Amino acid sequence: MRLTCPYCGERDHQEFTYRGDASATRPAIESTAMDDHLAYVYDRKNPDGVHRELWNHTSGCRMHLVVTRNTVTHEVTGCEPVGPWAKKLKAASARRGAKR
Amino acid sequence: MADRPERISPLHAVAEPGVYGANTDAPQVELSERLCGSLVQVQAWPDTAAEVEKRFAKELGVKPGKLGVTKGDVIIMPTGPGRWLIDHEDEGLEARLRKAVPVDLAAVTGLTHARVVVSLNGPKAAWVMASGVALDFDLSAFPVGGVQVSHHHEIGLTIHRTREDGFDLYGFTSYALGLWHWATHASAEVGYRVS
Amino acid sequence: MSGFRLNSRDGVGTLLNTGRAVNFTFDGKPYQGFEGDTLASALIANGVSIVARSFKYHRPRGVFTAGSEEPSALVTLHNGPRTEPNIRATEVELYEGLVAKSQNNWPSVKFDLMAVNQLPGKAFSAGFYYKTFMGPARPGHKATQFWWMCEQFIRRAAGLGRGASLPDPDRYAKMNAFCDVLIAGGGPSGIAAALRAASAGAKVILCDERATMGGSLIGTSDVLNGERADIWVRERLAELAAMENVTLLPRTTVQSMFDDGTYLTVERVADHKVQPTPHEPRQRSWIIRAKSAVIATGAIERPIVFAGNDRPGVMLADSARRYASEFGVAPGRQVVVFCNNDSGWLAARDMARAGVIVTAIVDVRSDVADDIRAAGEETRAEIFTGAAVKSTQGWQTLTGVELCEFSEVTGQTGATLRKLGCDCLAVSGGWSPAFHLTSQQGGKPVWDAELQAFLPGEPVTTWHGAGAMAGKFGLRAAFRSGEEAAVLALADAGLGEGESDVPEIEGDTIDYAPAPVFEIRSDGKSFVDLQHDVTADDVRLAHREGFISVEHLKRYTTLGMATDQGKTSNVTGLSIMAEARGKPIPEVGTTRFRPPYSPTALGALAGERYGHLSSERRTPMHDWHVENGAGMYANGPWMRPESYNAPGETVEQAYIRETKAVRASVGLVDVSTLGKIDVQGPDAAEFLNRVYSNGFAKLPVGKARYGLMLREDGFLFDDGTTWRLDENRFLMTTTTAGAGRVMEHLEYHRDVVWPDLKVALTSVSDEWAGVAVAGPKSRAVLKACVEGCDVSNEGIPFMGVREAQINGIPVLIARLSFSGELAYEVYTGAHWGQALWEALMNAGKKFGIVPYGLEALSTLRIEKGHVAGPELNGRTTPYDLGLGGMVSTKKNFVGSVLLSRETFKAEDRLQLVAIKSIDGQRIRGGSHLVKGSKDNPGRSEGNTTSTCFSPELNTYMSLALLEGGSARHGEKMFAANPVRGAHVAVEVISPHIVDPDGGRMHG
Repeated sequence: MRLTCPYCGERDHQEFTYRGDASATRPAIESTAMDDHLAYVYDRKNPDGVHRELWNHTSGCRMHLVVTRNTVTHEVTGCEPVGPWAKKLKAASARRGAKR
Repeated sequence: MADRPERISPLHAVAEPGVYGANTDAPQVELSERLCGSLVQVQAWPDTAAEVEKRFAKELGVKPGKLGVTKGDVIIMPTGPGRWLIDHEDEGLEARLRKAVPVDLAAVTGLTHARVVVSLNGPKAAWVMASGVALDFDLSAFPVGGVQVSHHHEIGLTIHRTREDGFDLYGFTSYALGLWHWATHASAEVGYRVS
Repeated sequence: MSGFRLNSRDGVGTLLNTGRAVNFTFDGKPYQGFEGDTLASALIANGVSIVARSFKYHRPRGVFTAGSEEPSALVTLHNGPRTEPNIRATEVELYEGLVAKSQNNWPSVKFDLMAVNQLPGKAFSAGFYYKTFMGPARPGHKATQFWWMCEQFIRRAAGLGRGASLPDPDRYAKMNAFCDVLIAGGGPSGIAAALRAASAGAKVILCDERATMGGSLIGTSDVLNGERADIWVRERLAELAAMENVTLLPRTTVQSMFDDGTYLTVERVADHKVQPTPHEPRQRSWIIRAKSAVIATGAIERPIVFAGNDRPGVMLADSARRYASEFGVAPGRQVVVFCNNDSGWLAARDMARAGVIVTAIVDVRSDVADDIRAAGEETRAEIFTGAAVKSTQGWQTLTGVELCEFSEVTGQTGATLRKLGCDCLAVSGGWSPAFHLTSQQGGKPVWDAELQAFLPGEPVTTWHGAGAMAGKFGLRAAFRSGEEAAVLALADAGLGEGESDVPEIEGDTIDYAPAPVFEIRSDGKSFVDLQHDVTADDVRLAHREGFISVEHLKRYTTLGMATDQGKTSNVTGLSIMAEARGKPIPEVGTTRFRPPYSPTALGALAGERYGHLSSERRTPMHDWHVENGAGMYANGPWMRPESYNAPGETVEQAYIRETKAVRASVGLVDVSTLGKIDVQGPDAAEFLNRVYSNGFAKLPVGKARYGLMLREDGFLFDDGTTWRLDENRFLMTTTTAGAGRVMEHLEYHRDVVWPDLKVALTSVSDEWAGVAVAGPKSRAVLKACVEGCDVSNEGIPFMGVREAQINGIPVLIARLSFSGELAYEVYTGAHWGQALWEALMNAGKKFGIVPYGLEALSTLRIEKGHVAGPELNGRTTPYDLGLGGMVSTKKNFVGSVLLSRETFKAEDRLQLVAIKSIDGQRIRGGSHLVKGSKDNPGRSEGNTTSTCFSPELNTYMSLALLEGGSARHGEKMFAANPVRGAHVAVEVISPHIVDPDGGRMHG
């Protein structure tokens, strides 16, 4: 499988580390709501089809990415940055897209 | 105060100058190793990256670019968003940069001892690189000056293309010997010179 | 069969260099062939007809094909460490000095005693193993008593060749490549695709499994642009080779197609030589990433099944033709051709033109086109249409065939027509497109009723089929489809169309569609899968016993599960099952092909990742350790000193000596392998406060703190000390094994959970060399060498961090203790690591300083009750390990909410204790804590985690996790390890036996 890192470009999947379901959102640090934490840690959909998942480009720029992947065909239809630099990288890629 | 001892490269015992492998009449690769005077990583924050680039220009006389920029004895290599690796002869670079770029602008991390530079040069350098690193070494994909962070045998590696047929590999100090063993072994098929 | 070399003439033996004789041996006997021969063609030319014994029945087998699909002619090559079994003789290029042996026979291939296997009719039929060995298992084992008795005989009787048990002396290289268009297969369609793609400027890689590319063009009598096909193709290949954007890889099989255009191909760099030249790899595996691909892997001829169809002398018709035209070898003196399609007739004609005597052509069809019949008549063979071969004769090799009438409409045989003498029967049952690669990727094959074959189906990934692989049979269709596929592939790569250059073709036009006849039923063993000895009756038996799904059929009969993956047998097997079920073939379905396409040397897949080429990591002091007697121990990728053994000393004696020295005076240990992370930024303290269970926000600059990191589910994740170097700069240490996962854990929280925090995380594990100096004299050692810092109790208080110099080397000193003694960790830049170590050794000389290894390090911390990896096992909480005091109640942190679950407060949870051996017996690692005797131990109430001999207690001890353990100190139990027969009386004690009030480390 090949993933296109928004910073490094297209690389073999061996450079990336799988980090699980991207839809799981941690409750705010102030939260002590047990149910929210249980849902964050344990509730997973495990879909047969399109899945949004987190990968860390551990052998590259070490950014986290949200990869949209079909779990049946392994077809990857999206690879977006998350984290502090996400906004800047997305804006840059939009500019490149507009130029084309 | 005692004299500061020499720094010892993990490759000091293996990097023996000579010609090795097949084809010793015309070795196709030249291998060498060096330690950086200073190797410093600067990680800017998203809202300070532009300012950090300006400070580089002021402090080092070099403005970073999309590719690695070499000027005199400074090499500035981009390795991530808002992140640069600076290779410099000056041993005091970390302290200088910490002053020039305080923590509200960027994190400055010394990596001088964390890396050993293995250089591969020669007509078959790209061929040897391709045998160990899963990157496209075609000039269209990896131009001269280009910097790529990848891995070798699952251990991280920063690669700077210094010439059309030359690469500087910034490998982890603890894995430098493994990297050297691979580079020599892979080069043996086409012959190599250690300088 | 008694093959022989044909007289050399134009267009015969196009691959041979008859000017160069090549000597080789087979089963110890010397033979001669020519350069360009394969082992198979040379053996046939020398009249060797039996080359192997079959897998189950040990029946004699000959050469069946001329390519990688060969099911029968498997041999062992080389002697000694290069010995390689199960190699297809049809793929082995002949070289001077080649040594080949037959296999799976005893005492010899001509006379094999194991052939008795075929005598009792029902032995070894489908499901033999399941039926014979089913029953209650032998107590404590997974198989019946009978299986245990028979296994050793069966394993010897059924099988393939034996590999070498010596280390492989050869190199196996790797290569990564990138291209616009990968072309798998260098036959006419592949070459057409390559020419077209190359003309558009695309980066092209063309792979073909044979040494000479060209596929069917090498041996046809067709004429392209006025030139003989093999000459035309040689010229085109030379043109391609000269182009900078084209890489030609002959002897290279595209073995696997993976996701997103990634392909594994294996190049046999030196398999055509006795051994590689110095430094040359034997094979090179190429991982190719292609923007698009043209799959032009051709088609595989399939046999027709009839009684005795495995006898040496029976081979596929097109293979027989290729032996004649490409290798100048007559496959027999009298050849009979048996077919259900036109291609058999052309094979007969081409053989006859090359000088082979074809005595009969037998076709199950009644109607044959006039031009095909004319081609047959050119051979002067006797022609039988509406007829079939019913059985073969011969003791070991083929001596004749029995022909009968056959109705294509009913599929029934009729009266015997004739018995014909012959020593070669060339069979053609139609063609199966070789879509193995696309099937590996999940492409669903589609049945083509006209061609009576499965076609690859619609691509679900980025590839385009061309030529026979895509059902485009014949030279004209091959060229056309090759170019069409190339144009589509070029579009995938974002390139223009290039230029068309289809040659003028003068040659035959034939219909490749066969009559739907797969089997001629009669008495006697009729083989479907020659390599696994699966017969047509086995398939029917499987059907009668209810194994009707194609997946069950495969597993029950092992059809298609041999090393050839049923290349010549799959479709035939399916057709027999379909007939038995009364359903059309497509409803029976197919199984998926698995990578690799053909058997591949493990060395080529593994590459060179052992010995000095493994991913080993060393500390800066590695060489010193080795020079000073340390046994090095692999701790993950890291090499660490286990103990420094004096001459004659065991590891246990050494670590006890080292431990005692630390407690009595001073020792030093290399801790450079600890994970180290630079944490910087305006929000660094806040970030640490969230990821550690204890507080870090208020840690003063110049101080270190021991921190616990939890997973979000409340279990312990890692531990270590973090040093505050500056208001916004911390140096975090992690366990050696946890370094990578802690870094990812932190990055996840920084990137995904709290992206607003300004924190930079950088691994600095390799930046620092670390030495722990421990023992009552450690301060004195530092005093003797440290400059620029007061090392007194006030100068560096407990947990204090100071900058200083030793011997001119800048160092960071932190007063930390893992051993429970007064101790310091001294860090410096890695390239000064050895200098620092030697300086400390020198300074400690007068205090009797000893270097200590991992064993003593571990013993010291076990005695102190400090936890490490074995206790942080992913199932323990801070409370379980007596670390509840480090769980902050004043803040939230990763894991705080789920740690508060009631279940973690249960009193009977496994809790940290120590145990000591009462009578001095060794406590084994992995022991269970039980109350009962050895004979009746009762249930496990806990287990040991870290075990050592404790000089402090003068007996063996262990840390352990015991149900409700913190309230059970003083209890007597047994540490039981039944596997090692150990049952040791122990007493449960507090885990803090050394200096429980901490006076030593604080002093």
